[in-house]
Amino acid sequence: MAADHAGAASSPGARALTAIGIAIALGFAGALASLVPAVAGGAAPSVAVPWLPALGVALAFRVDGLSLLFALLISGIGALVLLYAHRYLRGHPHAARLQLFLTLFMLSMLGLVLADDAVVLFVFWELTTVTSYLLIGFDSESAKSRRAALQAMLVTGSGGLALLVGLLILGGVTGTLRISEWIAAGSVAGQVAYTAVFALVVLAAFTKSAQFPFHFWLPGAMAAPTPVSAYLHSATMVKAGVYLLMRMHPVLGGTELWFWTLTVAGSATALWASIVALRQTDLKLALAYSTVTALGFLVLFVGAEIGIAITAAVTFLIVHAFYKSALFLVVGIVDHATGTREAQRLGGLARTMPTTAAAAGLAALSMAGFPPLLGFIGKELKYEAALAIVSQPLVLATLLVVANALTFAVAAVVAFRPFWRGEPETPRMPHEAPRRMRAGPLLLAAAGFAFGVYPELVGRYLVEPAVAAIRATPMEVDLKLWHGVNVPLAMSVATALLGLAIYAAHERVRAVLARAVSALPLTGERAFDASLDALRSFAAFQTRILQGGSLRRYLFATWLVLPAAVGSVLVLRGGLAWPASPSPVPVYAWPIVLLVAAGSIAPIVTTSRLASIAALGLVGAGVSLLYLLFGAPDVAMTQLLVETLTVVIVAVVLLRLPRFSGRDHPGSAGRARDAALAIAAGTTVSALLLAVLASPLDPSLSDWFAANALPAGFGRNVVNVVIVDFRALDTLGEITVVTVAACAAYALLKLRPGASSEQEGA
Amino acid sequence: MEVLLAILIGVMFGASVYLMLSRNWVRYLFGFIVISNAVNLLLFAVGRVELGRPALVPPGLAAPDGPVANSLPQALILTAIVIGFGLLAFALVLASRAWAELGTVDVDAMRVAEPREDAAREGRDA
Amino acid sequence: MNAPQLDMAAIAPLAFAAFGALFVLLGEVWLTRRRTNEHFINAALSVLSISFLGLSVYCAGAAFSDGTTRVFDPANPMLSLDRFAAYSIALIGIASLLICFASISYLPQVGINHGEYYALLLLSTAGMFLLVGATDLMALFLGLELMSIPLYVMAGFDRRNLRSNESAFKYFLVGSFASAILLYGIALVYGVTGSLGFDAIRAGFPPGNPIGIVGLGLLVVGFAFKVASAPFHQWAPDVYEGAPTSVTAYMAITVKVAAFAALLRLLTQAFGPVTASLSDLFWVLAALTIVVGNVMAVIQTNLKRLLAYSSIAHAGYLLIGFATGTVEGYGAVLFYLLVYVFTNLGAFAVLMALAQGGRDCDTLDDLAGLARQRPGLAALLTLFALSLAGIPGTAGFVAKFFVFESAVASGQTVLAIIGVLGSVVSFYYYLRLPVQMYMSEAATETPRRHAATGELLVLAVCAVVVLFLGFFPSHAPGVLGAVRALEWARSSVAMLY
Repeated sequence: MAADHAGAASSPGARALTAIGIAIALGFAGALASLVPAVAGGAAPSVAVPWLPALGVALAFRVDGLSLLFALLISGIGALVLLYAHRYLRGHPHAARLQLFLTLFMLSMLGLVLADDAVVLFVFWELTTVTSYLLIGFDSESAKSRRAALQAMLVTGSGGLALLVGLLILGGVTGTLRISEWIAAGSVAGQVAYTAVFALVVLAAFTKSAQFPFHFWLPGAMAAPTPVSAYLHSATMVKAGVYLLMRMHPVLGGTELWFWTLTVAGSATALWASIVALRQTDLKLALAYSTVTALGFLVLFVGAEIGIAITAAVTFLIVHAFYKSALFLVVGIVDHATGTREAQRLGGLARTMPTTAAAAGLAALSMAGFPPLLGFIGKELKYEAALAIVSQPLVLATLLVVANALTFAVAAVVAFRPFWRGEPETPRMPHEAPRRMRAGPLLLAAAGFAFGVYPELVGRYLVEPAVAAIRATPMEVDLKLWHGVNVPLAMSVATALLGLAIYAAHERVRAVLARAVSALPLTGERAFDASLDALRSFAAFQTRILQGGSLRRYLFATWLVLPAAVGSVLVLRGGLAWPASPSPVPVYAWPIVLLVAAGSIAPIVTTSRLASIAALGLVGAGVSLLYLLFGAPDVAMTQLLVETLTVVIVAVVLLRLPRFSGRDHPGSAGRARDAALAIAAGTTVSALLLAVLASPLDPSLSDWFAANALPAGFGRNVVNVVIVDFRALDTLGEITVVTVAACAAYALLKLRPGASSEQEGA
Repeated sequence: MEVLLAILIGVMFGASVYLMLSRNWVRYLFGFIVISNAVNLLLFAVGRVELGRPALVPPGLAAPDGPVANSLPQALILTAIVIGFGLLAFALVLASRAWAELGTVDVDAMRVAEPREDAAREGRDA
Repeated sequence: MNAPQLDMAAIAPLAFAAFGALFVLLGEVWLTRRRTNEHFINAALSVLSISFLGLSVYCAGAAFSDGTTRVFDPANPMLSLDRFAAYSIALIGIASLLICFASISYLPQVGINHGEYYALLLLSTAGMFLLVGATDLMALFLGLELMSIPLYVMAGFDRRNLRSNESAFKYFLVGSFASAILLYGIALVYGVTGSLGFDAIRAGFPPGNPIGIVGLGLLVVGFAFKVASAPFHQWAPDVYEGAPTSVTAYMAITVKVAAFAALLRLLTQAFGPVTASLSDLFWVLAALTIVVGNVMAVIQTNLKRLLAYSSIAHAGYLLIGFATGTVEGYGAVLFYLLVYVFTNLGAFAVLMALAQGGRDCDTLDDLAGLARQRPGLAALLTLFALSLAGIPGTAGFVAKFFVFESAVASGQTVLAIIGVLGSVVSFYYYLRLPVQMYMSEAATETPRRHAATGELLVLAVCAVVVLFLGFFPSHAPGVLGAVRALEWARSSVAMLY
């Protein structure tokens, strides 16, 4: 999707936003650069503004060696990418939007690496997720890019939420949310919560930094415009996970769990991705997978404790940021100029695009690890570290050599062959890119070269403070191009030879790989799809079961849950009881009780509406007799009155309705089920009531009413006094409720539609 | 007597639950009537029952002499009865209106708002 | 008889709402007699309702800043206006008031222009005021009924719509059922303690009494129905979908605030010492509600249904706060309710502003192409969706953060993780709104109406609050420094102890 809108001028909005974005980036870069000497001297400038003081959350930011290194990369590369993107999307209707999103993303990323408060860190972490969602989904017409955006959002977003919980637990354990205080307090490995915190933080880091098995979203995210890929998916966002691991190294690192998890995941990711990278024919995808390889290396080395491993990680981080963003931008130019990114169709571009070819060549040499580029130093350090961190280094060293050789071959495929081999068969006539687009890759590639020649500067001012921050102890770092003839050098030579061999045979290797990979039963991508599908089917299933739409089923579920829950509480907490000395049942109470029981059951067995209504009348009358019997004449009177009214009204309304069919409970199984439920509910109610009656009631309130009815309420009927005096609000409320019910009924009647009103009752 | 009342209330509850599970909402309303009565009787019973002594202050005395029926639950039941009646009257209006407009007394048939099962499946595929 | 010492100020908000209903009914009759224009009647009645609700909110605000507790009848405390009640009343009052504003243009658009609407709304609001101020189980029950009955009618207000009828019917059946359970719980609690007043219950509750706990459990279940917590939620999607959008908004927002606030008071004032024994119940309710709400929302294509499930899920997050049983947890709940009101109201107001020509905007497809036709509304709905999802920078994030933080702090880490997983799922369905608006084109091009002034006002208020609380939940800079929403919520809860 080469977004070429040649001829169209850039909109003023896009131009203004680009200028603002670049100004912000350069402002940050300048300010941060001015802090370099101080930070290298061991200072850590910080600022904190209270935000949620109740929870101890502050807008706290702190610049130490690690933050500074990341922030410089983010702002520096950010400025170049903004410049590039402005030209890349010239005339695109949404060019301004892209620049805005890119700037917002840059700010989120800066906030992330500078944050000194766990909550602030999390907030910026999620903001990078959101802005990256917008950036990946920029080409919103394409279903592929929408899907990729959603995928990235879900994978990294869920990791972010895991991070929040992990950080909150850590905050609970340490009593502070300030990251610098965590680091000062040292490892929490001895705490009970360690494993949980570790798992949550590592989950966050692995999802963000595309570690196996969460790596699949990153190649998908290549649907984004190329400048976005260059910025987010090589230089910055994907490194946020690595940043998190580095940041938490003093707090969570140094344990077996940490070491093995990171080492295994990192090496698996590096090896797997370097193999898959070679399989790609799309240059951008090849770069994407090689980014995953690099991330694997970084995680692998952060897993170790010793200084040389951390030094290797930090150095390689810088190396990779330079060459990978340069190469992405180069691919963007090639795509722009030729209309394709297919490796097989590109060739001989160096003749028409000499500057681009030079940038590509320099970056590729750094990637392949040739001296005197910075990439060589990075690779030597990796080998040295690999030999140092395990007691049996052979496995790790072999793995590194293989992965690096594959990376070497990929570098050749991406940046050598299209420029210096063969003839182009491109859709468009190749032409050199405009200056603003060339500036970025050229500068970045040149930086890889310059720092390779003068590594001391980088070593002292960037790597050393960062390593010190990660290990929480100062350490001298001396980067040198030439280490003399030693094992790492021998490994480098072996890497180069192996890499050349792989490159020579890469067409055949690719075909073999393609077959092998497509035969794999389960990849992360498929697993992701499968889990989304599973979620949707689960939702549909749950909806069918729980939400069939039948009110009966809702009530059924309720009646199932309630007696079961109540019954289990009663049984488990020993609530079952039997009244100790039940009062005798007077003879005349028996017929009343039986009458009421029969009246309640009758509507179940009869299909006659009239009989049912009569039975209900019986229930009401019987209950009112019971009230009378037990000293509640007022209640009995009211009950009788209301019951009579009820029967009359119900009769009037119901006789307009159809007869009972007798099939109101579907099937005999349905009847049995409903009956079982009804019996369970009834039994629970009886048991509960018996248990209540087994204990005496505190009569003080009732006695108070009885004693005060005459003196305070001037009435001899205590119930009446209670109603009109002591609990007058109840009565007022009750009248209001009845009035409201009447109003409601009136409103309903008034609202009836004219068409179907002839059946209206009451 | 407490035991008998407890069992009676249990029977009333059971019967009303069965009625409320019916497809015919007229029966649901019957269940509603029975359950209102059962809850009222329950309120009455938890106030502890005594045979025969209304809560009246005899002439010439300032307070009832000796134990009388618990007055507070009675007051509550009066409230509950009246509210229950108001609700029932409202329910009947609602019911007859629903019959007039939906043309059914079958609660299972009342699912205009529901995605039927095939519709739910479509939703998943969408 | 003795003149009882009644404090009328304690029922001022309640009285204003109830009298407002009366005036609206009278006003409707008076205006209709004069055969004035129907739209004018609607607007006039709305303004009348807004004025009365404004008075209620003003009283509540005054009571809140005053901070003293006023009891209506100190001899028999059944209703009081304290800081907590004032906070809840203000929240409910403001939400109702804003819904009245939005209804001015919404009701005529969908052709349900009947004056009783406002009367019923005011009566129901009065019921909520009673509910959150009740310090006696019977008053609580009355408040609940007073709140619910008008809602049964409002749910069926769109008489031409079969769904609306069905919605009303189901709501009533389930609602009356919930009332019966609540009453049953009240009976049990009374049977154990011999009293109905909150203070007396607290004093008279035999420690560890299983019957009393079952009674309390049934009270909680009664409320669980009202707030649509799983497994008692099943009525909600049907009812929310069927009712007119403004009524759905009213049900989803104010009812939830009122019921949660009343439950909170019940658990602290009446059952403070025994509430801890219910934390398992709340744990299960919260976990179930989060899972059910979020998972089922995934496949919804009807917007109101989607928001219904989303409101179920939010009830689940709120229940996390209850499961903690700590002051911090309850404070987080109260703050969450504040955010919930404005975020949901905003989302519903956008849907109301999109209703036209007698038809609600209620499917996802209705949103297609909105970004091009009405970019402002699309941006606002995106903002509210992000806040519902809990994206940082919005109030929704801060609210969720407080709840999760209180859960972790009280050792309910697993529950917090369930909540977080639920939020992950929720990203998926909330994102479908902006995707639909920004990335799809409408199949048929019907010109959309412009939002009316009332709707714009509501949207502006909600958007400002969502953004403001997203950035400054507890400390604002400059002249806004007096706005300390989190502290308000916390002090309201603390006062209950």
